Amino acid sequence: MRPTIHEQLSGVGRLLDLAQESHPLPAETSELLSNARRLIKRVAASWDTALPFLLDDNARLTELLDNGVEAQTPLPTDLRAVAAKNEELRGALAQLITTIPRDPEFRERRAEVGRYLQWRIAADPS
Amino acid sequence: MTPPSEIDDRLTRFLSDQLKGVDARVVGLNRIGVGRSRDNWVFDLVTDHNGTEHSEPLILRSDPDGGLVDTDRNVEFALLGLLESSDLPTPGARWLDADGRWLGRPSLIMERCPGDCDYRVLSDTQRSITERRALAESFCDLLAQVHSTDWQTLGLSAVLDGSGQLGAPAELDAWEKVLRQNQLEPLPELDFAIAGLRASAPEPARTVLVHADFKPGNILLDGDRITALLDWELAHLGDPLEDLGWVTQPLRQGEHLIDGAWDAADLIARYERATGFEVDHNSLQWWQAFSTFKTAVMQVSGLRSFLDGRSDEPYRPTRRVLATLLDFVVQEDLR
Repeated sequence: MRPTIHEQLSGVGRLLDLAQESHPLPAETSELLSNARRLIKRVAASWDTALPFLLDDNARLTELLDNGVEAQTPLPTDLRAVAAKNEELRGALAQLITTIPRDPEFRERRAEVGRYLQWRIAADPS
Repeated sequence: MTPPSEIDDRLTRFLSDQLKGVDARVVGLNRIGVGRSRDNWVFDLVTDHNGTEHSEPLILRSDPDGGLVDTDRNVEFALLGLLESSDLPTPGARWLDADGRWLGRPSLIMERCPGDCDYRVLSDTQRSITERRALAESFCDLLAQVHSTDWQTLGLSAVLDGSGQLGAPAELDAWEKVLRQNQLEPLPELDFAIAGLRASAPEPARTVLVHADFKPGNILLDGDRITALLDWELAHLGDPLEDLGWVTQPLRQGEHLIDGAWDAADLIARYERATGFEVDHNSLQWWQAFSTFKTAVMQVSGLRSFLDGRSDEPYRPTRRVLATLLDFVVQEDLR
């Protein structure tokens, strides 16, 4: 499918570069263009991996939360539904975190949640 | 962005009202700083006193539409007024438009001190290592001076809320509130951090005036001379380790430390000598982690401003900030 998502994003980047180079711009306008470029770079860097990351994250979250709601898992191709499911599961984890006691016997459970969160921060392509 | 002619008109009308009919002119109005999120204007106020012209260099600082944190301009104005009778180098506060009725947005007009702010001055290779180290030492001494300010005699508790709980738990509550007001989605990373930080919050070592955004970027330098410490909008009464944690946190090393010439241990040792107080290293670690949490909350708030169309800076909680924060909380729980 042409132009691909990446081709379109790099096209936007090229047009922004041309606007920047066409004539001297006020500093505020240059900053706006830089910010627009940053956003495009982020989308380009995460576009391909967003869906597999979210599917993997949803599986890990489901296991961590032990809620076993496999039947309602959205189809792997529907990015919007997968992202909505991810938000729902992350909300459940946020709720769980507030209920884990600080007693030493729950240290392993806290560590388990901590390890998962560290994994997610490192793996999140966005 | 408001055009200069409109700022000029608004300023002239506001100052004429404040000066009760004295003939006043705004001269040399010029916007300073890069970026649409900062709205600072320098100008000279020229007044006529019995045929003699008097010129005063001033700076107008207006709240951005989408700042990282909402702060109360009344408090900053009153605090600067009280600090004028201290030894701290602060700009004199001249006028306040608290609700933006005159100037469009809440605004402060302050005395304009000589010099420039440079947040990367300690890594400025135009300066020798000896010069940079001397600057770093003077910044450290300035921080010690802030913490040695006699806030009780100056009456700062009338302006800064010092009535309730102070220190770590209060600051954590305050910044959690900012987070809840701004978060657009579940952020379990920050809930995990809050739970861990709350469980290990240290008792305040003592109560001092905390600047809460101490950095070279807020220090006005005229050559090597400090002429003013700026941006008091987050100042409050609290634990001195809050500022010390802010300046020694790993995320801001590039601003506060000098590779091979001025590390965190140097800064802490000099601070201890200047204040006469020993730093509790466990508590300091907590405050360093809190500083990272605060940075993450500012990023969440910045993202909200961007998505609401109030800011042009596409902030977001970054991997570096979240990873640093989680590393601390996980390690702390294992201790």
